[in-house]
Amino acid sequence: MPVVTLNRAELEEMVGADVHTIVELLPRLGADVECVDDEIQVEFFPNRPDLFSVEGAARAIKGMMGLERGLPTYATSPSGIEIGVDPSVNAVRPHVVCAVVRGITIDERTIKSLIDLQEDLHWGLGRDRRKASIGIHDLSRVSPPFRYTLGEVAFIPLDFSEPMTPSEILRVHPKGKEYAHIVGDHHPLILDANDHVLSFPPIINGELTRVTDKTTDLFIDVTGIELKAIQDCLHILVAALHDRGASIETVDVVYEGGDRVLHTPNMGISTLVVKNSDVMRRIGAEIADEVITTSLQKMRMDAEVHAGEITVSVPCYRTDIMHPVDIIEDIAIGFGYENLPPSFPKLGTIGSKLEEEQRSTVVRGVLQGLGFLEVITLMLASDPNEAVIIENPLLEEHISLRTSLLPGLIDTLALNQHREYPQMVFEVGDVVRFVAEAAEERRLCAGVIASSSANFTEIKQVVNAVLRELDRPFEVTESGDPSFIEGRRATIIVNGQAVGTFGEIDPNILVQHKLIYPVAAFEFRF
Amino acid sequence: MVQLSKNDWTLFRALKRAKRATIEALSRDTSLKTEAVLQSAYLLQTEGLAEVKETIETVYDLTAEGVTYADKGLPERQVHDYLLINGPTLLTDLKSIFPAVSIAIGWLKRRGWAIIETANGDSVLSPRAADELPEERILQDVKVGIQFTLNDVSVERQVAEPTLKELEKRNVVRAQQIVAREVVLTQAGDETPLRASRAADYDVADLTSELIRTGAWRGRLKPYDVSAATLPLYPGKAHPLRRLIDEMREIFISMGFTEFRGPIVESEFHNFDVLFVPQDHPARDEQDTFYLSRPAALELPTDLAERVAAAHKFGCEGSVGWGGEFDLERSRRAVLRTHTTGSAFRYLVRHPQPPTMIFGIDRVFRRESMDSTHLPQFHQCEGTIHGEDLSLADLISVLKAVFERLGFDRVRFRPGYFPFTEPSLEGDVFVDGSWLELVGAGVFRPEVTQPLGLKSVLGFSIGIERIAMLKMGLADIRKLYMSDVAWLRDTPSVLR
Repeated sequence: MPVVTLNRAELEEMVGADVHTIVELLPRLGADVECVDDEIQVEFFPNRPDLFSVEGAARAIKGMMGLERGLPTYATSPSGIEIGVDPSVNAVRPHVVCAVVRGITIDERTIKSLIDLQEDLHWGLGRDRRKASIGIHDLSRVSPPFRYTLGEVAFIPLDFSEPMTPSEILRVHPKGKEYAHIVGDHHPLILDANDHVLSFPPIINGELTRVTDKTTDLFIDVTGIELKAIQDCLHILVAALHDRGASIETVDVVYEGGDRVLHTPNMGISTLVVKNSDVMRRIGAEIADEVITTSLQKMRMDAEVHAGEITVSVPCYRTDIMHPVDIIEDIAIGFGYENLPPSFPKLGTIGSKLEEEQRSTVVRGVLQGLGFLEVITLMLASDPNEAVIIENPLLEEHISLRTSLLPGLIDTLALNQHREYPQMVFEVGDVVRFVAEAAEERRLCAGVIASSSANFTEIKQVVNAVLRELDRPFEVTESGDPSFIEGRRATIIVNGQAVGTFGEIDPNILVQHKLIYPVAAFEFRF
Repeated sequence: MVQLSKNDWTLFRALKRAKRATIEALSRDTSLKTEAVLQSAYLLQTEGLAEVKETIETVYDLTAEGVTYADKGLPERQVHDYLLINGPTLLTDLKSIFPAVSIAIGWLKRRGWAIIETANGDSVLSPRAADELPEERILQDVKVGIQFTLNDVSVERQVAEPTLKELEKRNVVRAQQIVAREVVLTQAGDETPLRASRAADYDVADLTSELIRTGAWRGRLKPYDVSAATLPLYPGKAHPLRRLIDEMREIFISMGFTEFRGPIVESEFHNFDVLFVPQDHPARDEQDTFYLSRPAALELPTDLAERVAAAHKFGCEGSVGWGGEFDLERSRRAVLRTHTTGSAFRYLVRHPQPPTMIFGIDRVFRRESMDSTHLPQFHQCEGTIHGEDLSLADLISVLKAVFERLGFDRVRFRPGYFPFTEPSLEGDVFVDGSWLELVGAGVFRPEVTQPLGLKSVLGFSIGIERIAMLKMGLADIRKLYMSDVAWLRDTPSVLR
């Protein structure tokens, strides 16, 4: 989940409350405060990207505290600036939305905060820039109208001093190398009237439009493969800048040679109707109309309750609202989870255990009674033989799922070679085998005895005891399992089917694990 | 209360009956040797139960000479008998027959048992009457074993005393001073109950079958130093994590939940799509989820897949959905399940008729590097409730009950976020001064329940390892899966 860094002084100033009051309140917004210092580290939920900036967080906190309630309004006026969308971009990144933001005072803190928000949006809504990416530019350095098109125009990328072509950037520039997979051979560019490159989305901006402390007017582009996602990004970003005191102007995005024009950003509200009865049912409490209204106002929405229906106005930056249940959650948060009445569901069900677990409990009980200590080992294993195989493993020793419990037990003995002997350990657990083109889960039990006198007879007695307690008559034949010593290994047969093996472990294996005492082991399905 | 060993107690028992008795008498009564009686008597005296009274007595017995005289008679009697048989005899002849004749002649003269006449330079002895002497009677008594003591109060004493003195002078008998001991029960001894004073006897360390059979163990088992250290003994036992899992299983079953399981190797469809997790959600990245190359893809239930796909693209009643495309190929991809929530919905699809309360505790996988708080595989406890009109309040009440049974009294619930529930919550417990998150829960979205034909569904996932670490005071989660035998042996079976 995204960890957002908020500047303490900025946050206090924007909210108008001290940091301790704010930190108290943050968990009620579903935020986990990780560190309070000059900078506050807050972990917000990924469905609320509107909180990923100090402005957005302050806006929500003020609502919760009752300092500001209801819908914030975002006035826009037309900038008269146009951006033409060339159909060539359809091949790779068909959508773009833009905004002009004027009258902003920018210092180092603002730049850092903007970059942080931009990165968080890239990660979340932008799905690591694939779905959406943002470019923020100093408007004064370029001349509209702009064009969004594929091209191969050389420009100086951010933090570089020499012009490079888009192809060169993908080969050389660190960001180019990182995100080349998104664009491939198609190089979308945003150019101004003089063919100066503003950005090469989603890779890098041009050095030309770098935002500095002298910048007052911004041009913002968001490109991507899905219109909703890029609009969400733009709304969140613009709302934050607006809260900083800037004014917002729309840009005309001209598609198909003027047949379709979008005026962005559209900072209007959306409306949702929620039934009162649905609210009560889902939350499980009688909530008065005015509590519903107040709760939603605290969440920075407006609501009117009439004839059992709540009409809710949702601000444009609340990208997470998809269904009335999303409104209901906000009502519940406003009402307070701690204020819900006790109400255990009266379903009258009768509990029961799985038969398989019951049998496992019997096996564990017998083995414990025989003096074995239970261990639990990881299911990830290194042996690919007859195993389910992981495509993207993290470690060489974790490339598959275990097909046997014995390697884990031998590893356990190896780990404990300096502990008091004799050692008797067992595990009852699942293995997964890839047989007949399918993954097959099996519950097995396995045990090992390591001592100066561990032998075939001793382990056979254990196998006898467990199967006797399970009331399973069995036969034994000689086994060929290479983990055991030849002539001292046996296959357990129940109802004509081989269910497992036991015997004395091959000393070669013991030596590999630096074990110096004989080990007798068993493993079988039950 | 005094504890008497076997011999001491045996003597005490005899003394309780006799009140007072000599050592010898007690020896006869108890079959103990006199030395043993004496030793126990002094112990009883130390304990205040008895008093040992001592008197000094003079006892006479025969000297070597006395033994000869007792057999053959005193010398004067021997000579007198000879004279009676042989008539008057020359002294010189007597001297050749009786080497000690000179002693005898003195006593014969003194007792008037013979007359000595001198003729021709030689002496002739002639016998006179000689009655039996008291000395001779005593000598015979001594010879047959009758002892005489000076303190004897019997009638004989009057006779005996000067006579014995006489014999002693003649070195026929000799006097011996001996100490006579009598044991007398004291008041305290009289009042001390016999049974309670009995202590075990100590000469047996190991009780054997032989001792039990013969009863010879009675009163003989050696007491041990009960505070002495012993070597530790380690029972076979359940792994601490297993004990926690079993404890939780009991809790859920007692609350009316039915246990369920689902597959570890799962399709993206069941792991994500069914739960309305958008196909481009970051959790579905190769970064966070283990994808499989064998099997690479799994079969989908066609009919269900279509309904779920529609919910993703267009939403359900009242919803807008995620929009965009839905890729069935992607849905088929095989993963190691990242949670057990998908397994719960597999169960609900098979058992669509409410009411249903199910739980399952099983392994889940996340593509995470191992460190002290992360593992690529851990356990999750999944709980799911399906009913007509279930609410957030119901969910919170159930979770409160679960945590209370787990021993967590202070619990708080705050808003949470999961793509598949709304409202969502996270639950924390207060332990050792801070809040620790243990559960994620929520009311499932209509986009999840409607395509599956379900009513309202509540769900929660509890992280088992976190609780285990808390209850076992563990700082490193890896310890649960890389078992140190010493740790297992030393960790008590009772959890915190």
